[in-house]
Amino acid sequence: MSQAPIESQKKKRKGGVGLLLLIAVAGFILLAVFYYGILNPPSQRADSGEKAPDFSVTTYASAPLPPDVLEPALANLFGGNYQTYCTGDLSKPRPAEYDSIPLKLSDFRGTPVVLNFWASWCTTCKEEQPLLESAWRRYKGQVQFIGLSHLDQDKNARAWLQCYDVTYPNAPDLGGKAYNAYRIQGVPETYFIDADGNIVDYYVGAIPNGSILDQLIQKLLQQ
Amino acid sequence: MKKAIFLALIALIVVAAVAFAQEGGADPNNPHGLTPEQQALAKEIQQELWCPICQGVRLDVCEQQVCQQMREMIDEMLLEGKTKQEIIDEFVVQYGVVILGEPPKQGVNWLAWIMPIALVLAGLGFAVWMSRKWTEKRRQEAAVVPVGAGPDADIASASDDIDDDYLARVDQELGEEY
Amino acid sequence: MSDLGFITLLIAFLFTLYGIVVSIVAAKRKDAALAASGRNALYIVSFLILVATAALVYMLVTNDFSNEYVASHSERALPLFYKVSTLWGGQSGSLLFWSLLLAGYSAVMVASLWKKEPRRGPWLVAMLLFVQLFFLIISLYASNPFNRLWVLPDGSTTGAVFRPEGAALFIPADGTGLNPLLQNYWMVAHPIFLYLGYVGLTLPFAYAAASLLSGELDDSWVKRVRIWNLIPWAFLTIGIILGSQWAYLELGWGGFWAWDPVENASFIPWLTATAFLHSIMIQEHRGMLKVWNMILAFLGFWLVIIGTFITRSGIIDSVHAFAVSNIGPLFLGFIIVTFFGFLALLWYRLPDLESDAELDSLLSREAAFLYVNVLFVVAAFVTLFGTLFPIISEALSGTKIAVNAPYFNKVDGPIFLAILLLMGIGPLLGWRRTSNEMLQKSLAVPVALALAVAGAVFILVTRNWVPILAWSLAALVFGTILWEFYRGAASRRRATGEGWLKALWGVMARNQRRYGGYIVHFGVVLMAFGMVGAVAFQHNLKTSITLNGTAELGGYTFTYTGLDQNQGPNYDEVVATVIVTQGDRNVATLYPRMNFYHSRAAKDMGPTTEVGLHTSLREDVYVVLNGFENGGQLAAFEIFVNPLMLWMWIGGIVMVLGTLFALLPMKQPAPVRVRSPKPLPQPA
Repeated sequence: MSQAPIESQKKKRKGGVGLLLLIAVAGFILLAVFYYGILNPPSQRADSGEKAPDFSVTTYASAPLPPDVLEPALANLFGGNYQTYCTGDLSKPRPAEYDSIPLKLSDFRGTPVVLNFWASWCTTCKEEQPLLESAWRRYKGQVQFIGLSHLDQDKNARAWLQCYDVTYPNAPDLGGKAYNAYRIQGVPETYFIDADGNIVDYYVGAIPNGSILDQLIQKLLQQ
Repeated sequence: MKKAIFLALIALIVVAAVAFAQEGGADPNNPHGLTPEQQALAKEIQQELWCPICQGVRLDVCEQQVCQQMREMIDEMLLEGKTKQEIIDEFVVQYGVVILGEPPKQGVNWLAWIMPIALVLAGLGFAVWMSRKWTEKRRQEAAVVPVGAGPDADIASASDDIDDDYLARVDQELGEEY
Repeated sequence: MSDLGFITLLIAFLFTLYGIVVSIVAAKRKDAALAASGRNALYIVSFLILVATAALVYMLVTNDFSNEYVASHSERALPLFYKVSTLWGGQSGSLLFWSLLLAGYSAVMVASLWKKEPRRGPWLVAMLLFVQLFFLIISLYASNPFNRLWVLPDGSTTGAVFRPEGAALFIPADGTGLNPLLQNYWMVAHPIFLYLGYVGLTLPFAYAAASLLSGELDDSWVKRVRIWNLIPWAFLTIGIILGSQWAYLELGWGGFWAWDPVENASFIPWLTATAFLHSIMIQEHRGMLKVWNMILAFLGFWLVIIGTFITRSGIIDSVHAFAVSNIGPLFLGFIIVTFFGFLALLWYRLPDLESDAELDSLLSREAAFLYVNVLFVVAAFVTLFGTLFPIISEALSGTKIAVNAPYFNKVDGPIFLAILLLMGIGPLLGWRRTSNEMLQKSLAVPVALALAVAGAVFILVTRNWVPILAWSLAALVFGTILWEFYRGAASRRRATGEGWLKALWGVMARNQRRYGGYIVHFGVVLMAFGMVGAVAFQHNLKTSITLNGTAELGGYTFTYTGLDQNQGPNYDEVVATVIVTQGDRNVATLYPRMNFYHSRAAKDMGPTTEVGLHTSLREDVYVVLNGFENGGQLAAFEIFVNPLMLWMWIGGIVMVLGTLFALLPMKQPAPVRVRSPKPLPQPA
């Protein structure tokens, strides 16, 4: 009979061990998740010096929207007096070379790129857009501008582009893929990418005036 | 004659006024003129989608402009005759899966649905295993001793008495007994 | 004053170190004098932290804006009441508040247990001070409430204790103000109770660890630890309920629980603490589940730290989140250290924790407690998993997904229904075994009630199986509770010949824990009843109403009659008047409002809303003002009708009353004299 107690003792020890093992495994997995989370917090955007993540999009159509669609959209975005606000000719199509074409960041390897994330529902983007367009026109040939609209709709985005007469290529960032790849926290944000595809700098929020934008572009060109 | 023309003019003005009122005075709660069924469907869809830039705010209560744009898009797609699933699918393409209230059942996100089941099974497995451990001795005894000859017989007969005695003992012993 | 606070904390830190070292030495050498010295160090630390906290509160109340914390969270115009509550309104202040509560709890626990625990005592002191050490390190090193404000040579301002190179003292004229969402009475009460719960769960953990360290592992530890788990559990329960009330009344989205990461962070440890509450009884009674109880004591504390880590470290976006800070890695380090430390300790003592458990039948209270325990812990981990899933998904696939209420309702809902089922059957089972006859007799009333309710709901209310199932299970539990009260009173009456009421009171007062528990369960039943109504049958309507126009919802008519503007102490207020009628009957006049705060902190956030609410036992009518145009000609509202909402809050109060009934000392009625001491079947 002396065998039985020792046997049952062994069995019982196994029991507690099993539970401990379970807890240990669960704990390990949890700690792994936390460790990953600490290293990759949502606030850690793609940084200078890193390779700019590539993306593949299709640009917006360049044809102007019909007036019965365009006018309500503009009224929603800019208020009833949008005519005084919009600089562009609302019936003129935008450049044909960027009309509904597939676009990749890597297409522009060899040219510095200014990549701007925006949205038609973003109020501060409104101040920034004219600055970007005029800089594009001044630096054409030296720097490529690309705009990606985030969480946006075809109608509203195209109305916006029409209103500001934006002539550099813009595309919807479907499903927020590029936005997530660059780990962006909000719109607007602008990335400055050199000819080799590396991030040189980035600006969070609307660029407040032309001279700061100029400085950033100069810095980009000097790379 | 003058009177007839006058009356006709009045009638014309009234009709025109009514026509203008219906056109200009669009209902702010139904600006696109959806039918009641479409409005109900719009509300249903709004309650299944979530604001993409907020945390935990449903589309029907969200006040952000991006949400207003989304609600408008739902109305327009309903007017085009799209079904609820088509609309939701289109939204996922445009806005990403972040607007869904729960992880979609595809790819890696299946894990979100499998894990709870796995955890429940693991838990129940542990409970069953523990129960077996606890009743081990009893089951061993039962294999040897015929059922019915043990303490069970006492329990089966008494009910009120057991209660009373139990409570009596409870009261006898000082302090709490559960 | 900042300096006083800082120095006091520093001295407290040194005494904490001393206390830990001395207590460990005392425990190993069994030196009573040294142990007393360690204990006194704990008392001194508690006093010092109290002084430091008082210094911070003094600075808040006297508008001392030389202090960084005061300047960034308070303002002159803030009412005095909120100035004091600003102590826990920001990151570093709330961590100091945590230290304060821990210090208070530690002192009380040690003082009450010292004489009875010669072996565990010193280890208990060491463990409590160990946790305190961590929080003091955070306060001194990573998130210091006693930073002064300095202006640097380049014009920027910074906070620090010691003067940075070339900097000068900077005292702004006014502070940036308190987040407007925190300026209401709920946000003053809710954190206090919540923190009392969070911090309190350190105590059972420290006691469990002390038991493991000292080797004193007989079942007395569960008996002693019970109250140190129950009291924090009660505070946590109140804190969570207050939080959901705050969400309901202040956030204006018509609901009370969004499964937000911070809400989950409070709910997850509550689930394990509730499990522990119940499994303590098994070990007390039958000596079973010893290892399980050790783990639960640990989990209560560990999940609190994890919850705090998740919400404060910035790894998860949350509408509740404090500003992202640098304390994340420190918390993670603490989580890792405590995890491995406790695991090692448990492994080391495993042989001493084996139970000689014996059970005759699965139809027993032990088994029911086991299963319900497992369900609670599974629910906790399922919820934790769902909260962390956005991180997991991103790690594995790179896409960002959102996990919102629909997911949690789907995965946690069934578990809670199963728990309800066990709540209904469990109390009717006897220890070790229950005869079928007994069980059938006991279940008759509850099952009948459940079926009656199921039928009534099916016929009168809805075909949807979820509310039918939830409500019938709630009825089952209610029936069980009624049956238990009846059976107890009847037994006592038979024995003493007292009248019904006196017998009922007698059996309740002589079994406070049991009947207090039943009252708490009844509170849960009421909450379940209300929750199902408010969630499954809610009506809502988003509408714009012109002045003097109407809207309809749920049988009510809402007439918008006017918009007014008022001035508060630090905000402007726009109030709408909405008259609610039902047919001819005037129900209420509601005043939903929008508050526009002046402070800089508020400008980024936009206006807050205050709900116009009419509540009754039948349903809540809830109106939110979202905006207005043309000076009030058109106003945008969101209207909700929430059936049975009030029952949720009533249930919460009943839960608290039940806990008080279980805890408070009561005049004991006469004991029952034994009539016929028939020997009970003894456990073999």
